[in-house]
Amino acid sequence: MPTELTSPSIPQRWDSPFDSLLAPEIIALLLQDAPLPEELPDEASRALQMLIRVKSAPALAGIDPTRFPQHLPLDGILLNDARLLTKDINEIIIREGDYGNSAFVILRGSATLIADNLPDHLLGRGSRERKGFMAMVKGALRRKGDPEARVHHTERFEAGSDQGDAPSIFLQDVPRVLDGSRTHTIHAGEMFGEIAALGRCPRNATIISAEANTEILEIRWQGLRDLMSFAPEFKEHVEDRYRQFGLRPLLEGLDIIRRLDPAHVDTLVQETRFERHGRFDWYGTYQKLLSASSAADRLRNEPMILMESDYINGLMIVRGGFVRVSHSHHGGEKTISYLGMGQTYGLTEILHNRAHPDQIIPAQHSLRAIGYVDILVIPTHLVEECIIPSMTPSEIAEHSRPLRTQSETDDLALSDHATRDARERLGPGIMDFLMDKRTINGSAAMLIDLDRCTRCDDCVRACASTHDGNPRFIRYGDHQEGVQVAQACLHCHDPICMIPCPTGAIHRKDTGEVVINDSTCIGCSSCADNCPYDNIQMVEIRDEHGLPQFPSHHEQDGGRLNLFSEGSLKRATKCDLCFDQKAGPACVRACPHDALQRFDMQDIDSIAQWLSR
Amino acid sequence: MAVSIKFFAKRRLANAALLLVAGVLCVLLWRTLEAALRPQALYSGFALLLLLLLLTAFNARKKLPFLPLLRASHWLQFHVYSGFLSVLLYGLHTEFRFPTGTLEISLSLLFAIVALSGFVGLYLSRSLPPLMARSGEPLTYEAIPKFEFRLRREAEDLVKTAEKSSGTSAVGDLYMQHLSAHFKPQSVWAFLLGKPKKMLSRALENIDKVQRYTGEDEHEVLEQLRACVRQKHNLDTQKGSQFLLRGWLFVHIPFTYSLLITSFAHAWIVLVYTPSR
Repeated sequence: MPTELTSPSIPQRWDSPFDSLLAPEIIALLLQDAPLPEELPDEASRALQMLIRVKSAPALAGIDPTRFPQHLPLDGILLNDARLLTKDINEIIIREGDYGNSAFVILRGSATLIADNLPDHLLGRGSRERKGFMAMVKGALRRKGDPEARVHHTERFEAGSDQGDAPSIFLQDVPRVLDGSRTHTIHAGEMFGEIAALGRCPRNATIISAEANTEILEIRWQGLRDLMSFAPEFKEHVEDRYRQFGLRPLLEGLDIIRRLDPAHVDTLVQETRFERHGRFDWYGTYQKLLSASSAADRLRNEPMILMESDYINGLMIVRGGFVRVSHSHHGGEKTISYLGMGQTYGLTEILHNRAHPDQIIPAQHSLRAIGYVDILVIPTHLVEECIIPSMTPSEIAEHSRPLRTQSETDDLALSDHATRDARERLGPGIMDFLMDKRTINGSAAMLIDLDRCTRCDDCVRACASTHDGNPRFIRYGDHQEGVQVAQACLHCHDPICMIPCPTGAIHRKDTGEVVINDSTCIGCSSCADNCPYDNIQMVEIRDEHGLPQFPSHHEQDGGRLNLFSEGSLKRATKCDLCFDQKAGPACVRACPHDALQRFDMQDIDSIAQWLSR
Repeated sequence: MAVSIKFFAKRRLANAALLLVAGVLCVLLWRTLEAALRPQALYSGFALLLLLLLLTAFNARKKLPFLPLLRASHWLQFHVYSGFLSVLLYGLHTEFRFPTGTLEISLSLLFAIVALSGFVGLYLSRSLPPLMARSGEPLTYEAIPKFEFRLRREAEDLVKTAEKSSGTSAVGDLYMQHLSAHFKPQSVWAFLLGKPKKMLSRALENIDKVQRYTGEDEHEVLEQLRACVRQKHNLDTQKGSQFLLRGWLFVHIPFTYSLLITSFAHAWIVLVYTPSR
């Protein structure tokens, strides 16, 4: 009889409960099928009480546990993917602009939502500091002999950190802030934060604890995702809340909806359908997919959202993620574009069908989810009744361009000859390449035009000069048709590297750059492991004498200093887009041959024009 | 059909027009100074020295990437077109005659070397990158010897495998007689003489010739050898191109500084020994 193979070294989903104080054995004890023993350890009793209280919270109360599969029980999710937080009065729970990976349910007490933008200093954020002229000169003159030397380094988190150790931040000048801002009270039992967590977008409001000892349940996105999958009532609850708080601003941000009267917008908000395609955690598997399958296989593996020649049921709006737009070409699929957050598809066909009811045409392209996509669908009849009547003739003309079947153009948003010429230079080869490599996620991807790059490495030297002698990118990377995507941080629209960071050291600046706070990085390498592009490096840091640094040990460790047992201190490093430099990214400014540029990959036309200079 | 002029073409046209205007102005100024019986050689000399300093400042700008001093590409454009202008200015300054005397000859020689190496550098910078981009995998110059070694070992292993499996020496003989030279590191002179291209076609021809006398197993090995030969060609192209792209600077920059020092000496001598009017 063959023995069952076990591989204990492979990490399991619940190896590390969200609440680091709750041991996996305690959770296993609580989740066992057999009745619980009368004498439970303190930790288990506490967790059990927490579980009972959590399940009675209105946001979670209606969930039917029998719908969950055996390997993923509701209690398991709540014990492993949630934790209890206690917040003091005026302590910030979430900050506007931060990227969050979890949702919150208030169990006791209340919180205040502040809808207005607050200045950074009130939110405990440092102001954007750019280096002065003298600091830049000093930096350039400083000795460059030792790589990754840190003159000062903090030991705040080095003795081992857990998520509960994150520093508390209190809102400053609360009476004045509350007096002059639009606020809303969130009561016990209510949920918040799930829109940003599930959409991987920044928080759109600041929420502070309104009472001392406010008890909050924090659920990480993995748990949220599973609750949404197996509990339709929970999914409905989340979608209702999204409809109530998140959908309207998104719809009102679209050009074609901006001019609608509020009653029509209300109708759209009520009738919009939500669709989710692909895997939320696509980054875990995509590199394997890339190496293992051919281009055609990869395309087949991408979940189909809309098939070419299907009837269009509504206007599709990308709420999160990326969509590949392609059409059949000689028995294969030719990628012609991609859509990102806020972009729409289907209006051209709907306009055509409305104008020519006797010549109904289906979708002219196939849409596929690249990784993970959230789509909003406004039904066709509402587009016809509410949106089209409010469109200007020029908007209608723009969206009613001849379709591919009537003319041979392949482009979605052409405006002039120059753009068309440029798009031809870009071609399907580069388009497929950018999509296959997921470079489209970048908001500042480093592209190198190999037809102009003389490999002089001035860009690398400039990068090193502005980072104390340490280059933050590698002039090497995947390439296609003379375009290279260098190994430099893309500053992703969807920065998945930030998801597992336990201290929030890797964060997004209000100006969009994803940067690492060196003093709060604990060197756990979770961001580097999570970066699908291998653009985060772990480096061994050194002191001003060039010697490696080691964690400090305290008296309670027995006074023994075994420096080498844990290895030297490491930090995550990556391109910071020279956010502290007056003149912007040094790499771009240093290229004498106009061969290197940083691009927001959603702006295809700029890339196309750059390549066809 | 509307023809759109691309960015680089537009820039080239604009810069060339500016250069033409500047050149005409220089000639007009020269004529005016000449007619006014002013010491035009002195003025043109100082203008040339100033231009040389500005041209050299491009290298200094590269050393100060953190300062907000315009993009390096703007500096390069200025450097290139001012370089052309400096040739005209030099001609006017020397009145287009052959130099005499040690200092004059040295200065002219240095100027000629710097100007010529600059033109060569410009040509290389524009012609070699597309060649490298189309030849295969982009490689870091420093890593090329490692890849050369690996590729050679891979090819030799393939040959040994083929000999073992077939029991004949057809592939081994092919390698020893025709391919081993191809897998040796090539000099930059070989690249300049276009040798890698010839070697590639010759090596592929030789593989084709042998293929008709070999069995199915060896065909597969020959196919892999073909891929290795092509990879080696890419290595040679990358190595030769990158060597030239770096090498010309080793002529241009040291001679620029020599020219600058000699020019200052020349200016000092002129100032000291020119009788005041």
